[in-house]
Amino acid sequence: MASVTIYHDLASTFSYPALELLYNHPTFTSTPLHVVPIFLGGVFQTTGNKPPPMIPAKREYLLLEFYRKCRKFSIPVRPEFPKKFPINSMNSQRAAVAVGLLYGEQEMSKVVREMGVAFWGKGEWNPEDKGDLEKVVAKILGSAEKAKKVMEIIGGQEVKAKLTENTQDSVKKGAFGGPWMVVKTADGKEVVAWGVDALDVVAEAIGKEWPPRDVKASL
Amino acid sequence: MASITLYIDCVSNYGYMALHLVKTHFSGVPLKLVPVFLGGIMQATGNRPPFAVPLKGNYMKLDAERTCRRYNIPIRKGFPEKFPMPTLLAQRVQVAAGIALGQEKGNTVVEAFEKALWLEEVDIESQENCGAVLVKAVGKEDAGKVLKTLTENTDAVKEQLKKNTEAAIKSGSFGVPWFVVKDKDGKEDVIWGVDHIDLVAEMVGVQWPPAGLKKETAQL
Repeated sequence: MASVTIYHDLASTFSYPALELLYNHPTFTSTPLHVVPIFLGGVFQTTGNKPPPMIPAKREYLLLEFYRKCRKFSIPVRPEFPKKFPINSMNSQRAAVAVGLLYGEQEMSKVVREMGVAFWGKGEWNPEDKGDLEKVVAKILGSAEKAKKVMEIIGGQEVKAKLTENTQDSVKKGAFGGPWMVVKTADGKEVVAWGVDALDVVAEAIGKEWPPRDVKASL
Repeated sequence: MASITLYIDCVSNYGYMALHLVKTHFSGVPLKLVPVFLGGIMQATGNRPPFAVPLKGNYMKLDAERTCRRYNIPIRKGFPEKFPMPTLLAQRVQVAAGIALGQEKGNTVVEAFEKALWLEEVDIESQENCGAVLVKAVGKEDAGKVLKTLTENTDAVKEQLKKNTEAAIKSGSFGVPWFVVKDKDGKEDVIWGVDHIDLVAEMVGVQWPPAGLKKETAQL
């Protein structure tokens, strides 16, 4: 059976629309989706790549393209781009990993996704603020107690090691940036795809078509 | 009236692919091809070519192959042995063609260089080959006019290439292919890369993906 894995970091702008589409769009919802939190900064370091915002002209274009993409597919997006960009997502990524270790993959996927919606979709919190992080996690998990447990372990060895392992896995699969998607096709092949722009590759690998003919009817 | 301005340097395979798609699917839209010097854009913006990062270079090769298959873009198998190659001369010849022969024939010469490198596997680094590409594109007489401009007005040609490159940079480019597109209401937008050709299509009122594409069995 086909499945899609997305290596995801909250800091990665285009990972937001990519995950929203993979999570919600009828084209993708019948295919199992695995969300793997990585630390994109680690990917850049390992591969020698530079984050796009380091180049002013690229940064400008990224903003332009981000809003165009979200608008095109009716994905909710914060009215103003974050003033600090890129954000340091170390804690949010560790928190996601911690949720996975404590409460399982499903809860982890939920947390990853909803952290993204709260940050990129609504501009409601600051991922660099631990207080904000705990509040957001509590809200998503529906428990202040659970969030407290998460925050207790995010600085620990187990979480750090798992985040590093996820990050290295993505690089092993060819990642040099995010979002990085790996599709296992129905006949066991592996197809890699980079960026929200490559959802057509993901779709084709699972026997679907992207973009959908009637984009306005999306989501 | 909608129009497309496309900034390219023949060193970029994506530029070739973009141009092919524009000529094939947007043939009714006024098109201005502007030869730039990609090296100059990289230098001015602090950007680097994708293959400066090995994993990115690998992915770009895969991505280009897939895109060509998806859109039935005819292209050479594999990259030139020397890649990237210096294209300063090739770009100057294209600029000179625009000066000597006007926009339309200038476009023809730009196209010819793209096809020469990316379809016909011509080594466009050599002066001799540049001359041959030029003659094939516009014939001996016009080729002569271009070469005259190139050799007698060298400074003007250099200056124009510089101006083209700076125009791209000024409009926000950090790479090629770089589109500046006007829709039928005169609204202008900048669009980067073959990946975003759907936006170009949207602006000029062409269905995307194109209706006529043969649905091949995808072998990814």
